Amino acid sequence: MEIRKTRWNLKKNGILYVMLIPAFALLAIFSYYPLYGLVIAFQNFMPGKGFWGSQWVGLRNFRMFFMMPDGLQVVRNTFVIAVSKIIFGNLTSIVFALLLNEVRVLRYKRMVQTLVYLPHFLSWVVVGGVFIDLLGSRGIVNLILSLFGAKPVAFLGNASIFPVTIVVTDIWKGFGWGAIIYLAALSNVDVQLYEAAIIDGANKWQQVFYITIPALLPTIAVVYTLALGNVLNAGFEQVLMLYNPVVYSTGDIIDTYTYRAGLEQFRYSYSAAVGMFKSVVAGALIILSYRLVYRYSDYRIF
Amino acid sequence: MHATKGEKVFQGINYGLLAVVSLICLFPMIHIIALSFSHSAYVAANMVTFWPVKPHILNYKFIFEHTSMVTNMMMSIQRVLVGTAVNIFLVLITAYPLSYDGTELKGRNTLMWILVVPMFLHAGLIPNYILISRLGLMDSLWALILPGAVTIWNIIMMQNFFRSMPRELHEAALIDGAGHLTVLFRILVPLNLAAIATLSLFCAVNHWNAWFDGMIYIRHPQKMPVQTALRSLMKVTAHIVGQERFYTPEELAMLSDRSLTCAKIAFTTLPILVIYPFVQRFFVKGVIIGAVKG
Repeated sequence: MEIRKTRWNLKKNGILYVMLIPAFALLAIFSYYPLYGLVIAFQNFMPGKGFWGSQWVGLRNFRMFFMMPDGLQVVRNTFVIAVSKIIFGNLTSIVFALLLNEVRVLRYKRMVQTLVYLPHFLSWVVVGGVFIDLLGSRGIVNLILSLFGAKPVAFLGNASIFPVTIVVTDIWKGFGWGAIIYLAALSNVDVQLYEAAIIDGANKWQQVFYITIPALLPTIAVVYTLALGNVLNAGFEQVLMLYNPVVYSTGDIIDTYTYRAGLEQFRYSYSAAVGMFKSVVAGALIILSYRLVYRYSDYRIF
Repeated sequence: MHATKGEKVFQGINYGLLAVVSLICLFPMIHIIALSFSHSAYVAANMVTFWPVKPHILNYKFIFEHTSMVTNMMMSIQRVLVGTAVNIFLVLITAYPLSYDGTELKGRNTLMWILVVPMFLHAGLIPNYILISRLGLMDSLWALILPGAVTIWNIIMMQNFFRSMPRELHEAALIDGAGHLTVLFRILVPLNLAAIATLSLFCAVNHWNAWFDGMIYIRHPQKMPVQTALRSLMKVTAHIVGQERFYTPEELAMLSDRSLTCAKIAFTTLPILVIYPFVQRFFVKGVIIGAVKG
């Protein structure tokens, strides 16, 4: 009986493995196979000589990155931009979610949501193009500023302003979408809590501070912890769209630096080394953040 | 519930504030569209805000007649259709086996690890570039579809959905002699259509908006997806030069590089702007399911 059942399973379930073949074959080719190209980070790679013919140089490419002034600068720029985005972006989403949560007219609420989610669905080429026009010297933002008597601001051409522009435009694109998770958490708050609080004489502010915000805290904690894995993701597509050599000192990030070193200057090995440094650090941070979240919350991914 | 005076004031301010916030999200796009239809003299004089001034459609005529953007748009549509179909097909046939326990699918744990690792570990630009060119996929639509064909996150979500279905459903069908493919496509897929629709929308938007892969893997301007083409066209500062003979002096006076760029941006965004209002709620549902799902 036992044996018959197993055989039935094997015959029937063999197809399960067959179904897995296409996806795993694609992963093998496009995700796992290129990983062995990471060895070029430890070489002085020449495309003509191939992986095995190129000279081995150990950690020289990594040392070069950290010894050159632009190496540290790029790491710092990346970190500053990414962390600002995480902190201020989520803060904007939280405040927006709290305000929207107070809206009682459902149609109005839905209309606001439709409009603020829209930028999330536009590509960075489009959004970049839009802001290049809006923030240019003859753009509408500078026109409005001039109405108040302000001098034109080079939002994209001034190294000390550029990171702010990057963070603000990123918030513009993403805060509405980022608020969804908080709105979902708010919609789960038990209405009875508010009713009880009103009976106890709590006013609106007290309700917000003692019920709404505490209800959001677990979500906020999870979002900020998971964001740990993103402290080196400053937004490659966005920066690539908006930056220019004038703002490299504050606006060049690891990803754009890797891109230029590799595909514009053809320093393949150096580019691979910098990219590898980033993925190792980011990978470690992601694992750390998931462990923290697993330990301190009931959020589960798998 | 009795609202106090303070609450009423707060509500008033809140509604107003949210209206301003919504406007800030919408205005940049409206402004660009208005510029794209406006007479160049008014564009140059910064006299355009919400509405086109002395409207004309020459900029769009220019796009149709003197750029490859219509062809690029077709490439993008092709990419979205083929790419999304490939994504979803792989999600379904991969998520289904993985939704079984280790007792039924031996080695499930190992397979899950193999699936998840590439989410965190990337080879980086150069090895991928070398791979694509060695495979002879440069300038091919497949260079834009195959590397991202396996949407790992979606597979994990989908197998969670499948796992949450009552087991009796499969077992009854399997004992009745139905094969696994029948169970998947005749029972599970119809029951999870809403989730599949949402995942398809996300895949479609990602394909539509992707541009960097087109920039490195597609060199032929006619074969670029429209977003990539838009980016390379924005690098050009003098669009009209060389095309003057096609226009009368009056028409040339209406055109400008700035409004032409705006028209290109608007043209690229049009499909999203048209479809978005109708499908927006599916996206939100998808995010909430993904976020709450434990």
